[in-house]
Amino acid sequence: MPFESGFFKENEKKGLRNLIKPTQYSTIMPRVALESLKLIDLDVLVRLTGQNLEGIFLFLLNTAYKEEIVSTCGDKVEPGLLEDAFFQNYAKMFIRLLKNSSKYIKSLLMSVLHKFDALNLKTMFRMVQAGMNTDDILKHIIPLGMYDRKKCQTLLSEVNSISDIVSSLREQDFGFTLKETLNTQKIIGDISPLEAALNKELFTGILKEIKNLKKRDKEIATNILGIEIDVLNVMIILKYKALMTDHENIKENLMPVALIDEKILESAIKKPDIKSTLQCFLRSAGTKHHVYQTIFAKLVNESDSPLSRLEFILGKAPLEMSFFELKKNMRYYNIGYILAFLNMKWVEIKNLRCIVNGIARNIDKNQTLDLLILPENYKI
Amino acid sequence: MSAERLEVHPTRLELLALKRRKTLAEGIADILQKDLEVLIFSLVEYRERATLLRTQLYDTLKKSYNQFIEAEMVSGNLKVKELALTTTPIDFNVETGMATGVLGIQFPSLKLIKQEQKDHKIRLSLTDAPMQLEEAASRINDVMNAIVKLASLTAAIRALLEVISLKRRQINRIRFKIVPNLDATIDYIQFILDEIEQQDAIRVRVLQRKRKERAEKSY
Repeated sequence: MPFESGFFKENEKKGLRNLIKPTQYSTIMPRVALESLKLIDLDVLVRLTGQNLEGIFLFLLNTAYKEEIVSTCGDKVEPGLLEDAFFQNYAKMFIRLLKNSSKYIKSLLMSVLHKFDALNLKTMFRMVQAGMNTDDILKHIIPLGMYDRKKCQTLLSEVNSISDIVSSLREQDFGFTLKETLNTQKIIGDISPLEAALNKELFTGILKEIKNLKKRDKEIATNILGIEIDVLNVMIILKYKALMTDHENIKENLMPVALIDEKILESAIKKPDIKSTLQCFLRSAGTKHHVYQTIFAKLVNESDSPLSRLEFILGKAPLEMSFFELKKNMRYYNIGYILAFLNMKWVEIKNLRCIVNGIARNIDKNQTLDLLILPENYKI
Repeated sequence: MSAERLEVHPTRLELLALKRRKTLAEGIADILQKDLEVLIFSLVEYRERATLLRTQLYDTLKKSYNQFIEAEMVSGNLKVKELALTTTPIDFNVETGMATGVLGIQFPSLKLIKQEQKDHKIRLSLTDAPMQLEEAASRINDVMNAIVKLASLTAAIRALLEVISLKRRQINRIRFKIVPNLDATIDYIQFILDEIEQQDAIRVRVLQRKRKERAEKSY
């Protein structure tokens, strides 16, 4: 793992500031921060599947998660508390990266951070609609972004309904879009248009920030973050194909396009079944990027599998793109380094959550291993 | 079971009536026995169908719960709970009625009535819900039909068992109560009639002897 070697040390920061130019310093600092943030070795992570919850708890006390686990779990070993501790650790790591980043990278990371704002807002909408109380809602909030637990508590103490939440939001914090959507909403109580609007606004923001980057940074960010948006669009189309008879309103739910453009999406929508849809993507993606080609070729091969399997393959795409960009641009461009690390950290948290929940539910080790997001070339 | 004698006059007429009643009772018992065999045959058939359906149901439910757990593993149990809270509930009802089954027996019949979705909306969040949760929910939705069918079969089996039990009681009553009672009464009447016949024969012989003696004296 590239993040495990001590390339730079924390105590070298001050010295660096005097040695290099401010622009170089701002470019190198996020990478310095990353060097001290360690990921769990994949072999060790895979071996955790055979352990019990206490064993995992003790193992995690010797990792980067120690502080959050001690403060959140105490001596209780519960999957919910561990999950919360993982998120807190991710939040701490993200904030540290933001602090050490230069202007454009910071803006991009801020736009990526809005992902959690959108997630927390969606959580609030769902829970308020279900009539849950504030304490219950706060348990579901991810402690990251501007809508953290404190902000959500303040917000929820003043509101009673989804429309109240929307009207209390500032125009720039999804407020404008959500108000517009709420005004044009056809079915009362249906939160799916609000969710779609939030996602669109989020990804539009990310794509806008990517455009502000220059040359190679822009290309790397487009690849790493763009594949996430493309994966979402592909999954939306596949879900519509599998679950719905009416395909008319697919377009309304699609995200802004990244590498797979609107024409390709439109022709994919027109295809009669999942296999031909995936073949359509393969034909178009093939010319674009090696990672896309690999992913879609695999999807076409497994097109008869259940949709959950296809979703799993698609879910690996951002990680594969991160590895691809790391290999290609590891030493010279920090944007790829940061975004790849964020993806890998997120995948690590998802894998830990998967292992912990699997053990709590007495799931077979092999079944848990099947659900872990591991690099394509990793052999168990 | 000790046979009780019926309160009847020990006459030949009664004897004939009782014999007719016995033949009729045995005939009824035979018919009931045949009905019982048919009922047991259909009970076995219903049971086999119910067992098959139950196995399929448990299998589907197991797969569904497994997928639900996988959804929790992939997205976290809090997210699954959150998504489940806002899912559009499936609107369904169970219509009850009666159906005529084997030997014209009335069985309770259950029918699942689902409200057709007007707008074909995806029930869970399009972007946040893991596919495993959607698949688990879809399986559970399909399983509803099987559950109602199994409930209907179970109700039919219960009705069949009640009829079988009734028929068996009726057969037992005829075979071990009515027929033995009739037999005892017939035997009793037969005995009385035999006794009367014997006494009559003795009386005739005595009278014949006396008549003979009187005739000899007169000569």
